[in-house]
Amino acid sequence: MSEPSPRIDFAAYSADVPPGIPAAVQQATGRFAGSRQARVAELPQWEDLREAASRIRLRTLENLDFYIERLTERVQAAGGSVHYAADAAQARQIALEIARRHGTRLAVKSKSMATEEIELNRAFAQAGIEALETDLGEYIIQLAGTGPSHIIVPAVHLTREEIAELFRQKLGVDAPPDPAQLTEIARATLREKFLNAEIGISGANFLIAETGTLVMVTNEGNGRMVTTLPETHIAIVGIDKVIPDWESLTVLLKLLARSATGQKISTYTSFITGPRRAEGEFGPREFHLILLDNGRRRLLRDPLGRQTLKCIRCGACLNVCPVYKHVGGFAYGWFISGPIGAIFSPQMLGLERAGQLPFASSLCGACAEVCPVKIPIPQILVELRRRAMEGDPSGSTSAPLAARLTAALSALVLRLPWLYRLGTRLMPVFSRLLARDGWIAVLPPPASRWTDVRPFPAFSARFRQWWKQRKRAAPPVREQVFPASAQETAPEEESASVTLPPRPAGTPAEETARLLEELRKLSARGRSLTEAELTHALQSLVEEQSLRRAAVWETPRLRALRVAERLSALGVEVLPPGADKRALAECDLGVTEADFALPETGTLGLLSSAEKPRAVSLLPRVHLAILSPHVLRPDLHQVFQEAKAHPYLVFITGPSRTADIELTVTLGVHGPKALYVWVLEESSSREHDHDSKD
Amino acid sequence: MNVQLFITCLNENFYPRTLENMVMVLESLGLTLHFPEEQTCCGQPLFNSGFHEKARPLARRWLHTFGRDPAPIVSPSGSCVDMVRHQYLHLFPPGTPEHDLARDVAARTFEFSEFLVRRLGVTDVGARFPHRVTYHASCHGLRGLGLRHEVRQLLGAVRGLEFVPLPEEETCCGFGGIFSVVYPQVSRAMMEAKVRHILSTGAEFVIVADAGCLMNISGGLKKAGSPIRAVHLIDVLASRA
Repeated sequence: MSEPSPRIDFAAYSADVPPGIPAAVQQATGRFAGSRQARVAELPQWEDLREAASRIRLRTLENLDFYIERLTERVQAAGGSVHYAADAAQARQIALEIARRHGTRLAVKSKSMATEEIELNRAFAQAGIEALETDLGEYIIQLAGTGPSHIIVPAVHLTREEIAELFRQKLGVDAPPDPAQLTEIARATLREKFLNAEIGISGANFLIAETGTLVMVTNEGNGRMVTTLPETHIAIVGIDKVIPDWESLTVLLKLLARSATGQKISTYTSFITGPRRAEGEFGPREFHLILLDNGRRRLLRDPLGRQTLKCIRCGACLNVCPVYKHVGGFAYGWFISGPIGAIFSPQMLGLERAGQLPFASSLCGACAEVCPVKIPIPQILVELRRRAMEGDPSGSTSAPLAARLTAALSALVLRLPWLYRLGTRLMPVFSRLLARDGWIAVLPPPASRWTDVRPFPAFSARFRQWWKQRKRAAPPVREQVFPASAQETAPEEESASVTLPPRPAGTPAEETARLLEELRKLSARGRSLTEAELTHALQSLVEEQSLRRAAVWETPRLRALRVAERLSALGVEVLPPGADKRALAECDLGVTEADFALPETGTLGLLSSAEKPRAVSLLPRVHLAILSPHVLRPDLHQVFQEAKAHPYLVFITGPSRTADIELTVTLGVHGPKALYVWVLEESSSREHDHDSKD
Repeated sequence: MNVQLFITCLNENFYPRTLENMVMVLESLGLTLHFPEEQTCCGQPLFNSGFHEKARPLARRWLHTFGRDPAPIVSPSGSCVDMVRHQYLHLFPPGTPEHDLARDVAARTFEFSEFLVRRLGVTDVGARFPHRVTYHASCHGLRGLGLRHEVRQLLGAVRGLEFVPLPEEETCCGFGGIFSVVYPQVSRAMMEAKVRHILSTGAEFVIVADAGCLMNISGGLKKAGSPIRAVHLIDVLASRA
């Protein structure tokens, strides 16, 4: 993406939107908004969550220095490095220095708004380092040489035919216009890149000050690749992404995916605290966090700016915005678009550059209604309009002369009732000259901006005369016919304090059933089985998926279950412990043991250690996770209480997925294509672990 | 019960019949109506266009025009009520002389359907309208005032009325005041989508409860050469056909 033009010209773009864009954008936004609606309806405490999230975000931003200091301290204590970048140039510089120090030729990137903001890719290209986008949508638009048109699905404006053509030209491969096959091409091409890259660059969805933890949410698994395989991980994150603690994360995580795509939770959520602790665990040797200011501190001094920075980049406001749906993301002229772009960009770039954007809204309020952190977007738009028309704190005003004259004239007329009343009597007379059948078809500029689109109604004021005549005639007064006990309306209710109890757990059997049901919805294969059925189940799996090579976690439980031995007996080659990434990439099957499971969302939680390499759940084509019912947890809350002391946690919710090509859901874009989850019933297996029945 | 009529400048200049019908319906409920003649405009167009210094005197005189009388204030426009109820408090923040007055007046200013259903508890006004109708929910009544069910309740009691839901009932029609002339092409696209949806219902009438949307939607239907007519909710409730 090139340097933003000096002035964002929404008017010019919106007057001439490329024809394919509205339909593509409307298909995507309609689907997301619909799924979101369904998720919201399932969650009775939705409004409480929004209220809590809004408060958490605002409170953090009001005390950001404190939380940044704590975060910095904790990241460093975990063995990571923290860098502070005052502006985009500094952030690019810091990232480049780290890359050069490691002799980097290839850096793989997961989707990051912050790197779009600082245009990192261009800086790397100039320095002779390839910075490759790996989110499928971002990869496509990088090949196309454009910016993102939607926060969540950046290439939504391109058709499968256009993408196929792009792949043919840029990759020199035979690419059919089929989302599944195009995704497969991207998988193969990018898999090689992940294995070769010296550096992984990511953004973050949240930074938890309490433990110095980076939280990153993706669906494809590319975010995991980027933070698991290269020896160095650079995270570039806006300072506004800091949150106080894991308790806050519980609230925000429940809102994020539901608001964004209408998923209960995204496929992968990584919780990363510092670099890897042990060889063989995977994850980077070096972890660098670049905290990006780039004007955010200036925004924090302004109540409007603090409200704006509450944003968690879910894109829900885009998906319901009728203006965005008709113009698409490019109209907003910067990396962030839609209603949030219309308030964020003018504050970040100034009204001189982005002064058109606050007017690019009908103030319909649909955005504020869905915003998970309750940003009062219409109010902010109106205040930014005020600054544009009356001058912002820096004194600049961009009000056009015509607007100022119209405003001054109407203000004068409306202040003087006699003049206003005279106007109401004269306008029908004038308008009779122009109108036919009660409509005025054409008006001179600037009113032609209305009549070019639809006719204007004829002026026809007569109420005041009618009212006078009626009073003279003195109509009879009748008795009240409505019930006297009608309730009063309280227009402004005081917001109550928020208490958010975690979801209560059902019986173990209910929770297991619920987990399996959620897994089914996610296209994962869940089942419940006894140890006696294990060999048979493995045999079916080996046959169904044509498995030849496997890697198995070295946990006591999996060893006791003799999973590796059983697989060997079925003719599957099992890699010795400590296999490297290339060996794992050639594996068909990775077997892990879930440390946690959340039935409500069908989520597995996996920790990491030398015996539990992160890449085993990531690189093989098929992932089998075995768990016992005692790892089931009713709510995120309990998982976080137990997991936050660990330097690494990953949530896996179904197989890797993408909908980046024409919104067609394709499984296995980067991570495993199939996920099997076996709940192993507690059938005194420990006592009989030596007793292999097969 | 006494009621003050807040007729709004758009309704006064373009929809006098609706105002007359509002008087009929309210009087039929036994209410005593007052019309403060000094009213002009609540200042919303200037406020939403960014001219807050110019909107403030209009808001001030509106408050003085209606604030003297403790009677509830009723308006045929959710948009204007939203201005009075919510935006005046921004124009007159705590500490300004008008703040308390603004709070007081905000609490007793009602949109028409809100006043009937929530304040009076009335859903049946004895109307008869034997037609196939659909309904567009105006943004400021819907999201500004939180009126999601009131209009449906009122229409549910109208005799002979056949209701057809409008696809994307809650999506903005593209009016947006100044927006419609600053970005006419976007406004057009939004309006045309709304008109398409209205046509798809096969209704004879589309009910709209706000003058700005009414201007936009009826103009769009006219431009499309459609025989479907856009009417204000009040006109339907006043019908005894």
